[in-house]
Amino acid sequence: MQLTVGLDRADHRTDIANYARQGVDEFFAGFVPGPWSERFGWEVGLNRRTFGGAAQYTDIDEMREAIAAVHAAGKRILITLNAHDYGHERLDLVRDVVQTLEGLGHDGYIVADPALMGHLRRWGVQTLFHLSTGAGAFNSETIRFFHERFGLRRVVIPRKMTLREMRVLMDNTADLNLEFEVMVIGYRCQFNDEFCFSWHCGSSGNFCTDYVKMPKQVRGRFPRNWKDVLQEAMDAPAEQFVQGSKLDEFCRYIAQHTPTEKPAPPPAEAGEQSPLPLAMFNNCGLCAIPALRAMGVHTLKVPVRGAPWQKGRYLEVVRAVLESPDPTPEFCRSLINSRGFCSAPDACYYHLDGQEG
Amino acid sequence: MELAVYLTDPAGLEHLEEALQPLAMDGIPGFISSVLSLGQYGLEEYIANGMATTFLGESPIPLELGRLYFGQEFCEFLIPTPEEVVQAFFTACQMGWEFTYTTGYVTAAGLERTVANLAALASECPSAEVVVNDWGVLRVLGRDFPSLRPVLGRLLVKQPRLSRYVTERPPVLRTGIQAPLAEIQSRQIAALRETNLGIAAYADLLRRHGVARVDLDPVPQGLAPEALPQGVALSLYAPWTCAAASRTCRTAAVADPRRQTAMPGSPCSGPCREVNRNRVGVACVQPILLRGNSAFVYNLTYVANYLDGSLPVDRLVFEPYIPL
Repeated sequence: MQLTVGLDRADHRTDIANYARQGVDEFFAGFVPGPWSERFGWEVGLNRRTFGGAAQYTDIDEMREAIAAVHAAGKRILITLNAHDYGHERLDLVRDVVQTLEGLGHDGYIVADPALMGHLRRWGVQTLFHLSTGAGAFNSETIRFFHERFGLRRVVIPRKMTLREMRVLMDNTADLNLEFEVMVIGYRCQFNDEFCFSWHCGSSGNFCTDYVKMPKQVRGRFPRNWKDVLQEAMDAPAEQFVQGSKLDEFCRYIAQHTPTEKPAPPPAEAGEQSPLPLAMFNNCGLCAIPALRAMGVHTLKVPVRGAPWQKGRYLEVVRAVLESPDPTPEFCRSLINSRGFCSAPDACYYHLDGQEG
Repeated sequence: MELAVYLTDPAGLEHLEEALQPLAMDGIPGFISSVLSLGQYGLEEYIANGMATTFLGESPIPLELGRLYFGQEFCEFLIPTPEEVVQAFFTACQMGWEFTYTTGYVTAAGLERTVANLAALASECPSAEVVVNDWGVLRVLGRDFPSLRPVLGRLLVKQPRLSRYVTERPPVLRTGIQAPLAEIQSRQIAALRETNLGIAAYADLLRRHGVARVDLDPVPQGLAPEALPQGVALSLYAPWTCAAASRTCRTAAVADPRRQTAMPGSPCSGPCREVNRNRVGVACVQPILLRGNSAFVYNLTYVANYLDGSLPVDRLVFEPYIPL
């Protein structure tokens, strides 16, 4: 089982050598040159990191040096071209970027857009693709759809599939000899990458994070005859504002069918659930690693770019679990220094029974 | 223009007439509105129904109701049974309408149920339309049910939708960029009016799979006419655009004391049919609502921009309620 981690322009030759010594087997990186960012900003991206240049390589010489450093360490590096849609007008500029990259000797592309995949082949790209989580390969037929048309080496399994669903997916495509990659740590959005249609920007709030922070409320849905009730109330209000009327029944129905919003989780005992590990390691799938290894997952992804210290900590804990002969949940919690971590709502990446609550 | 009505369950079929009945929302007395809590956040779905039925009734473009959309795009636990699909098809027949079966993104379990529905549909109506939102479903359709006619679903059209963040003057991170802000903003909006549908090789791929129609969610920035392939017809969903979808569900977690969201993988009782769990906020003109595992934005304001003749829109798909 190997480990892949993101690189960005803060990562130079010595950093890459250090990551390799920490056990990283493969890297991925985005490249957004000046002609692109000056035209479209960071928000209309060449890849899914649309928060600014810190998460990318922006200089071709630095990109070349990073690729050389990765190869000098005996490792592979993939370039992310995993935007969901590049549009017809942007395609010429994408081709320029690809032609520039093709001379650097990287090891392939992580892609999501079938339109781009077709054009990469037309432009002479030979390497097998890594199918991005953004392609939404939830079932074996989808994998076959992409593999038979474009040629895949690896499938990045979408977030929020259960371990059992992943196992079925892999079993159903065993004849294709593909590699499978999963994410095990880091922020797992409320929504799925492949069906996120919102606008992300590094200088303003984003829909997903705004939404998650807001308090929630449970309400009963209207019964299907709500228009009849409303019309009757409008036609003869005096008859409806009495007990037993249609309007009265409607109001009682709503009251009866509306559970109260669930209470906030009880406060953790002192020392059990510091917010700092939650902020750092949420969401965490460390204790799923043995099961992922047993089902034949090829690569674990640490999807962090633009945050060197956080990346280093993630690598430490993931590597420790990979190397442990018995990485129990207690062992994982000791790594992240939080006995109460797993009881925090939704902290678990895969919602493993027995780890939460 | 053809008008289709989109329903997701048999109960919706039973109340089809009522769902389509126009209702002048501005004529509701305040004391009744108050009793129904219509002004409160989370119930805009019903206000939207009233506004949309009024919009359809007053449309300057003649609309002819002639098609039923039925199925589930967003949650594989809510995929109808084969019997329900056939029932919906016969309902459409009784009304003298055409039939379109909508499918979603699916794991192996959901694909199995979808295939069973396709088999039932193909035996009753071999030339029915099927909306596909999963490339695997498209592959199965072409291989096993070649007579059914695929429609590219809105979830496979990746144009950004969310009005709150796609405006004429979107926020832009300026770090490391020299170009004037206004230029960046206008280029971004132009880029967001494009889609990959306008790329010839992609259009060929869709054509080879028999896709002759694309279903779209109307968006505030609109769609550039050149963003479309030749010879493809368009449908528009109204009044709800999908802003984001997920495989985790906050409503399904209502009864779970441990979690704020529920992962799929175990049977779900479908509480979203009875209740909705939404964020608390102030009601606004174009609300964003969470229903089950997905978020939707009210889009009726943008629909008219698509009907000026510049785009080959020949079908409006009316969603009486959020289709989940």
